[in-house]
Amino acid sequence: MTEQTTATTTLVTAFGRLFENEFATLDGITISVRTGQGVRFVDDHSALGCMLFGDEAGTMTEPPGSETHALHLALYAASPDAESVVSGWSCHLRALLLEGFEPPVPTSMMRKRGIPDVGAHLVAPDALAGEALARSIPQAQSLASQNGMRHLLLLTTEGMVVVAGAPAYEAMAHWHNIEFASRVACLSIEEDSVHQVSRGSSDA
Amino acid sequence: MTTTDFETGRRVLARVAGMLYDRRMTELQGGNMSLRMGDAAVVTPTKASENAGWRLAPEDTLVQDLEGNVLVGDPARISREIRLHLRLYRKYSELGSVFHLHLPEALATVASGRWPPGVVAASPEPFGASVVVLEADLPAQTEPHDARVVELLGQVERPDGALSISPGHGIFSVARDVPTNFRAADIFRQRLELERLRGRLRTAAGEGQS
Repeated sequence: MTEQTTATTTLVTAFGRLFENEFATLDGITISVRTGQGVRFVDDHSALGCMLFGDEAGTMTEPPGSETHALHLALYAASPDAESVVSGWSCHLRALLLEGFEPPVPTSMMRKRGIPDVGAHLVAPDALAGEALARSIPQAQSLASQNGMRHLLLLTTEGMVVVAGAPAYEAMAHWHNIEFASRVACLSIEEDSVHQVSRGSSDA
Repeated sequence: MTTTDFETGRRVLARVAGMLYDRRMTELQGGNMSLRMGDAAVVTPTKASENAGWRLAPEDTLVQDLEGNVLVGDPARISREIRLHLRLYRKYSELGSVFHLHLPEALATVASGRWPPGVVAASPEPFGASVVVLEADLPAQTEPHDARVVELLGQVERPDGALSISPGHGIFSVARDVPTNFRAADIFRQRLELERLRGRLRTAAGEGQS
């Protein structure tokens, strides 16, 4: 097994476990790994194919969407040490931001990985393509440099999460941490609401 | 095809069944899945849920031709609902996979009255799969029910994923292959869940202001 194959397998396995545990959705997921022959992509179709068929997944692979493809390649170009890029929706971040709530408070695992302020990584939904991407990447590089991050992190205000860097498994950890922190934030909001209703009932 | 030719399909279907259950796409009292291999279909056996908790071995699955004759496996384990799977394969040659799932999110959405019977979405956007809804007075496993599923699915795009919701019963999802079918049904569920989550947050924000 080559090093690149190992990285792909690691990422797909990690994603598969998140998927089984309902911490990840197939919706919009794209995982890529830099190899000696170029960049190897696993998209939402082929990720499921890998989980179901293992090595037989090749025949099920769909070509990645061109915009996502270009985003990943731009991140590799900007980050020569990057081994992998993971992009996809965080369901709970998406819900939070679309309903006008603040991004989540970073968990200890996020702080440990150099993310003291999630909101600092937010960009507009159209900032992951075209000329806007040329401005988004330096923003992520600057944050990485300031906070000692080994990965670049971009979040759109619609809940798309993009991570690029090395080692590969850490990219998936970053990606997962956003969904985890966002889930905690959503549950906290709902908990507060339940307590308010309970207090209202007991006061009446 | 020989029995050996079906080995991969039987292995894949056994794994798919377990993954669908683990992912909460169906429950312990129902569901059935199939994939097409040429002029035959690999299908899950009756009571795969109750008897095996969806932990199937490849040899638990059956292979039937599209007329329903058992080519491989125990004929005593034929599931009644597979008739509809075979009918869909005969009618729509582009289909490579059919799942019947007891998906609570879909049943709840229909029960709320949000979607009346008929075509809800003729293409995979915005729900991740084309969506049709049956009339509530068509009992499952009857000819009128099955005919209506086939008719309604004929009115929408199917290869990238389409699903028919039978109120109070479950869904029949179809697609060109197994991963596409799984993906479409899963994204459909995720998008319904996102809408519900947003609604809960909106309600919570309203409570906070009151």
